[in-house]
Amino acid sequence: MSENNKNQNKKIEKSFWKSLESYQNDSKLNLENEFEEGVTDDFNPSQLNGISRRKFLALLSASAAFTAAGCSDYHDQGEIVPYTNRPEGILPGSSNYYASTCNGCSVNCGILIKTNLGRPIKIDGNTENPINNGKICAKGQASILDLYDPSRIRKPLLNGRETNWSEVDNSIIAELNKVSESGKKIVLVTHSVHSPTFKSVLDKFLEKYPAAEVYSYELFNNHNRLDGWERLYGNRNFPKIRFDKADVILSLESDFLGKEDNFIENTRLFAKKRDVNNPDEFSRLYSAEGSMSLTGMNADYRFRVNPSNQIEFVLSLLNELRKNARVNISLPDDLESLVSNYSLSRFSEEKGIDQIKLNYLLEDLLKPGKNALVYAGNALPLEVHYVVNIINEILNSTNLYAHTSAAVEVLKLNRHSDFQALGLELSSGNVGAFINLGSNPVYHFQDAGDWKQHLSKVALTLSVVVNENETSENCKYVLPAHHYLESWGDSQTTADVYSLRQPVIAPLYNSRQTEGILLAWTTGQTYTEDLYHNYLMENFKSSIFAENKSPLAFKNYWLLALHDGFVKIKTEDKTLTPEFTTPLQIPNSSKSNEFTLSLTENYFIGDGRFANNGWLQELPHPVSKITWDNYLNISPKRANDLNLKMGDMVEVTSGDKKLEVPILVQPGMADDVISIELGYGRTNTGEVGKNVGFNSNIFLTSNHTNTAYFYNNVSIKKTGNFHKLISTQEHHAVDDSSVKDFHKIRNIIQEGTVDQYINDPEFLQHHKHKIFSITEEHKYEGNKWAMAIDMNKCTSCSVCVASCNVENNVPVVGKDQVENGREMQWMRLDRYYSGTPEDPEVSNQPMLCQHCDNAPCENVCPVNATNHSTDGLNQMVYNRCVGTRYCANNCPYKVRRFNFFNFRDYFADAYYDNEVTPLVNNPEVTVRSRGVMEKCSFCIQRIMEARSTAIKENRELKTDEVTTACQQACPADAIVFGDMNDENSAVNKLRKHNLAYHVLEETNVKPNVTYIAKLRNIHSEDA
Amino acid sequence: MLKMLNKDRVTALLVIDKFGGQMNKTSRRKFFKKITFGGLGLALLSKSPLKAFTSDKKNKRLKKVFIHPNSVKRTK
Repeated sequence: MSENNKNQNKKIEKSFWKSLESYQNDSKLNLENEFEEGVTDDFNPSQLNGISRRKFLALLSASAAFTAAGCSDYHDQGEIVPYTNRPEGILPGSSNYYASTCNGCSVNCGILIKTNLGRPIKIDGNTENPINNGKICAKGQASILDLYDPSRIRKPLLNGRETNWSEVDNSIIAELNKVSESGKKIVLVTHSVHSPTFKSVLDKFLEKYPAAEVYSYELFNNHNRLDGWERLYGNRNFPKIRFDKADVILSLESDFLGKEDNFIENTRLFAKKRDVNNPDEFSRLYSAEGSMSLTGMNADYRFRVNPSNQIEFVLSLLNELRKNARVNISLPDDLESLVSNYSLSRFSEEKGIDQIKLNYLLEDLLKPGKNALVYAGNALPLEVHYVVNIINEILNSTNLYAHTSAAVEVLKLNRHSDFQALGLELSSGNVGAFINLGSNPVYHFQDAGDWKQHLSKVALTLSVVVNENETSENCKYVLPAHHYLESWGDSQTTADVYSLRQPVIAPLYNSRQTEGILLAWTTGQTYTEDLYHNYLMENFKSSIFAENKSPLAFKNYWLLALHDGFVKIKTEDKTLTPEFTTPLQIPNSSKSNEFTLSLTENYFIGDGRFANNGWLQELPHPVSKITWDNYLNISPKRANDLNLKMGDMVEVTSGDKKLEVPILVQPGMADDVISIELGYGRTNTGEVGKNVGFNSNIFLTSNHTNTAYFYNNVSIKKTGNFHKLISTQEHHAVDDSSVKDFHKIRNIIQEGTVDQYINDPEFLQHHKHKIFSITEEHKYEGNKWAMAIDMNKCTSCSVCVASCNVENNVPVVGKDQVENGREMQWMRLDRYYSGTPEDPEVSNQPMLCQHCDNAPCENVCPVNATNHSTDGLNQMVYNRCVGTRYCANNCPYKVRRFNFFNFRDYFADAYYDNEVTPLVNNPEVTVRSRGVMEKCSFCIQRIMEARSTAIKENRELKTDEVTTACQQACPADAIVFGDMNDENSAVNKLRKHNLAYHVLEETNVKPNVTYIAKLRNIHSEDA
Repeated sequence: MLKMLNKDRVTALLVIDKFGGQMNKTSRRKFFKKITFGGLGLALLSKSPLKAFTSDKKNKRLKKVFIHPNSVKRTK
């Protein structure tokens, strides 16, 4: 071995160490095994997951594909599919109109129903029907939503479970026969019957079952008026009042412009006498009432009179008037001596009524050459009506009575006391069958005892109703009835008009016509949809056709009658002679220092039958602007004395009845009067109306000394609880003295008096100055749309708002959203008070998008979603809107409404988002979704429709051819819409009127809505 | 053959070989066949526009909201 090799071996033997530890062989540094145990084990494929990456991705994509296929687009409401077999008479895109009759109340207005693709979408008045002359109320407008109410009963129910009609028919007929044989009574309960044909069906039923009795009622009726009329004239045919001929009207506790009887026709006639082009002919309205009503808001003079004192008031008035009567009538001695005990001056002193105003009243009532009228409300006792009729005789007001259109009673209504007696009879076991035909006595007559117990003693209980109610929930059988839009029928409420009702849609559910059901049970025939239709035709042939002696063949006459919706009946005017047969008894009106409770009908919910209608619940009350609630009205003075503020709960005690309700401080209330509106607190209705408000029907009793609507000696006590009342008028309210009376300071409301206008027609223009602009005004060629609203005619009835809601698919948002100021109504009626809280002066103003030429909203939209059209409209492009809400911020009128939610499925857990309710939508108007701004569009769909018709007919648009929904609905014709570039248009003339003004015109936004200033017809000394 | 490859490649091929028994046996041809038929199946499951033109099923719903045969509409 060489030395090199020896050296190399030596080198290999030398070891190296990194640290002392390694040099010392520290066990911690034992790094021989670099990997953890198991890391370097041999790879075992059998331990792998069976699913490979490839398979996993394949499964993932397949499931995603299935999910995508399974999920339907929530926006998808179906496909637009053309008809392969088009039904006759239906043209997609074009609407059909049918004449029919509304049955929302006892007036039974003539209506025209607009249908699209076989479904009704809008109800308006029938322009030719003399009962309402083309106008209907808010209830009639909104009643279309009830047709598509998802809570409608769809199938017959037996003890709560669904059954079929054949089972129901057979068992009920058998049970009825059994009851009849047993000798027990059969009771039928219904609302007022105005149909002569239905009456004949009832007569047939009574003939077959002699032990049967019909109870027909209306919670708010005109018994007292008819009784008072009958006492003096011997008949119950109260005439139509010609309010358009009355120069002076004294309204006593009567809301004849707001909710009583045919208030729509009354408003139309009253507005005719408030024409600014004939200021000399202006009527003067005095109102004497305890609670603030819509009529009171529109009165030129208003007295706060407790309803219990009205008898004293009218007797005092009679005493003064008879001394200077225009017609001398000799009163019987007893009445003479009674009347002579009363004095108007003493009344004025005792009750705190302004003597000067009472003198004005006397002076106006007696003015020669002027027609004066005293009109008492339905709620007042018959004695007041009797005296009022005498007053009208001595004032010669009888020339304002139109006897040709006098009221007709097809079936006399039962009294409240009859239902109390019925309750006793039911509980005694004398009744074998209880048949409820569309009414709700269990809810309305709560003083009749425990209805559940009463009905449990009756073998056969059944309800034929459209929706479940408090009465049907206590019945064994609940049978679905047709809605009136699915029904045949007729109606006669006045002597000169016979109206017809025809169905405009095939029945949506397995329901039947109420009259047809009874007819089938009575005659033994099988029910078909034609059964009642044929019966109605036969009845029409034997009565109306036979009496009118028309030269037409019956079939043609019948089709013509259906086309028109009514038949005119020849009647003759008559002169009635008063007869004093019964001595007058003064009703007992003893009062303590407590309150008089006044129970009234709600303007939109009625007696509760519209409680489940979201549009009506959300329509602000015309006086208080409260939505979704009822409350107790109290005067500001008494609220202050009792330390009460809005929303405080009080316990109301009347006799042995107690109820806790929230209060509302209402300016203009008489200090000793409190009032509550009925129709709320329903417990068995759809989700919309359930438990909304407070059920005050408990106070109604037939054991009254005065009338069923006023109760003396009622006390209230603060409970300490609180219930939030939502008022749309209080949105944006600022409690600052600098904004007190700002509607007058900013000239939002501009008013004058008739005398002022006659003396100086340009009085309104004096304070105005020319508004100049630094930019050149744009010239609009062709049409330029504008609107004018006459504040003299507008009564704030809110029919325009209801009509706009239906026409433009405005959603219901619910109480919580209204509280946040998010109600979606495109139009609102602002109400301003001035004067004192005790005797306020009320000014109303419809407010909607002003379609300003210099619109402040258009400039600030970042995406140009709102812009101005060439015909003057402020347009809204929904699919551009991204929801910045800058436009609403900039709008000085605050008329823009933002969809904070998709209200279709937000409200009441998507109550209106079902397969049926969307059928109510107008297909010509976009249904807006969340995040989009909307506002009044001047009914652009109607403008486009008129324009396309004109193009088809190769002509220009005619003057005043286009009507907006609000204009069409307004009973006073206060709203005028048209082309301001057309010299002949009504809106052009109104824009140039001396009384014309624009709201906030000093901002130079150039609004296209002109307001005609209100003229109060007060004495010149008061101006 | 395996002996000729270095250790790393042997490890990889061993994995493939051992895993081979569990490899997806679907060939490319079969794969495309599956895609095609699966797609057709999905199309049948979803709302086919063809259906609407073959019957008045949609109109059956519309037919429910239909004018009453005896009602008389207004002429303009």
